[in-house]
Amino acid sequence: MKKYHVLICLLLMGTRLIGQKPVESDYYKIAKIATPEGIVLEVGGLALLPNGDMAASTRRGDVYIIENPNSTRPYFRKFASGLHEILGLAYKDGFLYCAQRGELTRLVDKNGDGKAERYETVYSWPISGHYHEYSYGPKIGPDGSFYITGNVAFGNTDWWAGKSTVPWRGWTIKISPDGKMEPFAAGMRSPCGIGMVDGEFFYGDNQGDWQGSGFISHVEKGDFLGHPASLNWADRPESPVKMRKEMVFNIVDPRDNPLVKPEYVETEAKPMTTIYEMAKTLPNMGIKSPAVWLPYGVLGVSTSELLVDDSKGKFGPFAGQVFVGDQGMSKIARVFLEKVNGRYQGASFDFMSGFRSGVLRMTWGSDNSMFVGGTNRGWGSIGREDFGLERLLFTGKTPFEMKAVRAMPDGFEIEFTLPVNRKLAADINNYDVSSYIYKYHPVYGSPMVNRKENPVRGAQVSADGLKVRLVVDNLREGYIHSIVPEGVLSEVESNPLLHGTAYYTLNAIPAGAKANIPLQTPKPKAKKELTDPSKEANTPDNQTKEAGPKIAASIISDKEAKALLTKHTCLACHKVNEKAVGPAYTEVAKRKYTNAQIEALIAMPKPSNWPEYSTPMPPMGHLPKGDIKKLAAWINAQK
Amino acid sequence: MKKTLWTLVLFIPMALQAQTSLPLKDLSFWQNTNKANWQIASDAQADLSQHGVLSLIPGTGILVNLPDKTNKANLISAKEYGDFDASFDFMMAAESNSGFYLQGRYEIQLMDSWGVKNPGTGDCGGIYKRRKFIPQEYLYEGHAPRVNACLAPGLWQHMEISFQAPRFDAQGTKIANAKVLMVKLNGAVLHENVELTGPTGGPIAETEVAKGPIMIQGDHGAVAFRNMEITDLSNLPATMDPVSYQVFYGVFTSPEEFKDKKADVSGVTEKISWDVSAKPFGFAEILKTSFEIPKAGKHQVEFEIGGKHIIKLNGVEIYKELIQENNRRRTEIVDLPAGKVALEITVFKKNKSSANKLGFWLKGPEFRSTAYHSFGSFLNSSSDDPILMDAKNPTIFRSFMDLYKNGKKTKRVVHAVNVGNPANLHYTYDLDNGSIAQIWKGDFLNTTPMWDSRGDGSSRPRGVVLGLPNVPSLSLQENLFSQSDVVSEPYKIKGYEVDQDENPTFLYEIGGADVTDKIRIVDHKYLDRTLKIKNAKAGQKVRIGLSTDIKQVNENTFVLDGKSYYIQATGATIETQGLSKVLTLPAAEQVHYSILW
Repeated sequence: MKKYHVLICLLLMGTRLIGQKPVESDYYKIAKIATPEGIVLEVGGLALLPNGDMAASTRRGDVYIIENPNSTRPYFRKFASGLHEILGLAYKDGFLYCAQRGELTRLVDKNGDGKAERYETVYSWPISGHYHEYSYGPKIGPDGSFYITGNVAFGNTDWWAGKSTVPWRGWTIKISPDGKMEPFAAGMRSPCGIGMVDGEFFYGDNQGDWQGSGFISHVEKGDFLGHPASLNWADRPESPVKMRKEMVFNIVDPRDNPLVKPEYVETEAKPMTTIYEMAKTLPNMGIKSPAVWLPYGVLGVSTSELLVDDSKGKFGPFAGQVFVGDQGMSKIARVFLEKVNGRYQGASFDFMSGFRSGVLRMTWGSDNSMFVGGTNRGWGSIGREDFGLERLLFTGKTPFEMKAVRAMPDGFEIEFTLPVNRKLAADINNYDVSSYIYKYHPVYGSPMVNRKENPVRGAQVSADGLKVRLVVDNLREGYIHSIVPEGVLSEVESNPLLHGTAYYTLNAIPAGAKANIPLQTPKPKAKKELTDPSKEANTPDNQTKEAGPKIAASIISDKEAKALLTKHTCLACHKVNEKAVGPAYTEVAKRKYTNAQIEALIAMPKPSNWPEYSTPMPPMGHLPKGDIKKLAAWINAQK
Repeated sequence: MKKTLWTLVLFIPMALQAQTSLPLKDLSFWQNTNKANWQIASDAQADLSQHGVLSLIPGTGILVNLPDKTNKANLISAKEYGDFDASFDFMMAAESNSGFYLQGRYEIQLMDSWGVKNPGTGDCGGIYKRRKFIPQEYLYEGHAPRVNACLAPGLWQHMEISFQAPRFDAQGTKIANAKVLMVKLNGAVLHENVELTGPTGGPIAETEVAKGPIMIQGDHGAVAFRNMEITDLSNLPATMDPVSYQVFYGVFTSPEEFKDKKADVSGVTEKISWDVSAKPFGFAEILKTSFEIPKAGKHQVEFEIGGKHIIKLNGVEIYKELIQENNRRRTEIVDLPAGKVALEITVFKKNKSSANKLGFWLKGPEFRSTAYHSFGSFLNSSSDDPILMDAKNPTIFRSFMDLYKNGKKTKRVVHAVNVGNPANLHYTYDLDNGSIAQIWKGDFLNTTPMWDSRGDGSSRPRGVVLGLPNVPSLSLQENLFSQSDVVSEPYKIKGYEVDQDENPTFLYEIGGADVTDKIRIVDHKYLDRTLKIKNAKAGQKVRIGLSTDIKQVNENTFVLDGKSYYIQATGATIETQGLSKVLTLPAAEQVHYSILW
């Protein structure tokens, strides 16, 4: 008997020791919510009702009350319908509120029959009738007022350029419960994700023209968040925004010729700037750079919902942090926020992938599960379904993750969820830190620019093994610092990190005492072929086909290709033989480009080559030239 | 960005073809009936409630039938027709019945079907049933209209008919059925491509013919006609010689790269076809043929080609596309002489993903659009499924709504509420000014424009649309004649409330007054509108009609816009300023009127 037990233990240990890497679903599970056939549940809003029912609004104009939503057979009741593309939902003082394209509506069930009879217009705002002018919300502020944000429109000839043709497009507006509107902040492009964090209003914008990548930002009254189109209304008497278009265009060439789409230019006449630098150049004008950037292709393609973990630990180790949805990548990222010198900054991490459609809205259920709803109509997503509603449940098992990263006067301090292997964590050669930023310009998106390596000079593990203080050289304020503890494993079970990279937006380096540890010089890093184990396991796109007969010896193996594609985030948008956000590699191969042509297109993509895809590929010229060469040849070999 | 083809509407200019406007100053177009029921007048008027009553105003310009017991002949044209298009305005007396017989044999029913929920073969615009007498009288077949597009009696309605005569061989045996290519009533399509197996009930003869007269039924009821036009399309289409082709395989970026080379494949084929190329991409081809044009004049060339292309007709390059490979259908109008006309089409295609298609059509002064491509060269199919919304129960649906006048878009209403009804009478309410912007008959909405891919946020009415003044209903005296869609007083939208059947009542505040606006559909026939106004300003009025043409028909009935629709209201007044007229009611606590259409 005893021998048998020991054998089993050994087998179990052996299984782990052999190297079965942890995956996201070991810790969090996605459960589909059974939805009656025929209900087009393109979720645009979610709100938990006090009695435990979940209310869901859709892009088709319906509001459903889902009763007993945590069960295997929830009951759907249509509460309201006929609204104009609802993209939000909130419950306040007994009523449901939602933003339609053109108004904030209060839905009232007067006679208690489970259906709305009164569709009250709380406030109706101007819209031009352009398809892109989506309106989001409401989110409710601490003073009980409603926050609404609105997308810009686009030009006709200059279809790439965001426009604000009627008042308050590209703005956040605040509406009081009795219907008085106050313009709050400007500079938004596609402000789909909004939410309250610590009683402060935050929002997330989508990568696009003027917005180099996705991000979340703290928004205060009078702020300008970057996109200049909305400044058309900044000089209205009721506007609190001090920024003006000319101030932006004095620093950045708007390149607004309606016949020429601005493409990425490495060196322009005017010196390159970032929104962080522009805020420094024009202080006290309300320019607000992101609190936390969500790097494009990894975390921030089409940023959607913001949701604070207020579960007090019942949803895992990330209590108090902010979850951020992404529609295009069908995933949720995680953001740790802190305040340095009075302003918000922090780190973003990958959290959970594999949702069935685009992730548009998240909210908490009554049992500390996260309800995740979405749609991909019009834009495509990694998740193949057109729409759906799912629940994300915590299994109770704590993943080995970087729980938080805090800025230090001379580097960073990583807080882990579980104790680290002390020897590995104290070795500076097990950390890879680099930094870069995105350009602020009228071009759609931005490549990572001004990239530099940041040598790690010291690593000190705390007594309890949960924290590591890193001393890092060449810190730059206003830059995103990518921190990869590549070689660090957990103490128990020797697991690698579930998600291996932290992206810290270093708006300010805090003052204070330096770490009291002897500095070392890290060994020079060889270009390893090693895959980042956590990334490989957790992308939904692990579809590189098995190695077939090789055409030429010079083409890399599928395994190496998969590693490079994962590392360089190509798989965020491409699959090998299936259409995703971008074309399949087999389709690219059919075009019979030369390898050199593909290399050039990776650096400077031409979206016009693929008119049926709505999301343009960002320039990837910053990747190592050798990797680009290898990938170009490998792509051409795909059949 | 992929654009779906539901937006493609071909406007075929009527000036292309040989059209005859029927002179309605006398009855010379028609055979003599020796009866008195058919007459010429300058205008007619019907009474909504009086069965069969149609009164005349003497003069010329319209054709009227006033049958009685002894005078009730049918009217038959002197001229005979094979293929033709016809269009006309008509006015029915209440509960009246008539018919427009194509070749005197195939009846398109004219009927007062106002308010009929499910129109049948005997309703307005229906293709009437056939009739057998053996063993006993028995009615069969016929084709019901898709929607009830019929308006109220006494209003001018518009019908368009496209007809293709039966075809016979040299021995006189029928080899193809007659076809109703299209019938449109008030702009709504009722039938498309319906084959007729034989004459319908009550024809001038039971035999079918290559040419026959127009007949209008005169023995059933009072009816009036005006603006009658017939386009004779009896001539045969242009014939085309066999097509000689040359195919070059390879990836070409311009015709210079292949046109002087030796072809990889050449030959002759019967019809224009892209698939003379064995490869679906990476090819170029040159197709050459000639047409025998029957009559000189303006011709419409229509083509839809996958790949870059150049089209030369009669030696002249009429179109070239050297950039795009995915192409929509295009039309070009060309003047062609009678006789032999050469056609040369050059196509070159390198992308696999662009569609393989070569569709080519030609339409002439006296023949309909005819296809000259092979069956496999152009597949008549669409992969986009339309997304339609019906109103089997009262349905409220907000979307952007474009308003049109005379075929041109005038405005996009951005805060529009569309209200659909199982009575198939629907309306759009503009929240921004409290007006009923339009009403329509037929099915409810086509929501494909807003739900196919990203969509554009708008939907379209399915059926016949009546545009109404998109102006604030409540108005102060000084703005009574204003055409502006903007409310000039302080205005607050309050939304709407629905009753237990989901019918909405709209709420708003205007200039200190509180308004509820309740619109209900009655009897499948008309809109009933009740406004309740609290604290109305002195002198504020409710504008229930705004037009250059408002006439009082009886004590509480008015007809507007050249007999387009009726307003019924007690105590309404017509005020005039220059050419503008406005029909008003005082803004009392309760204001009520009806729109009959």
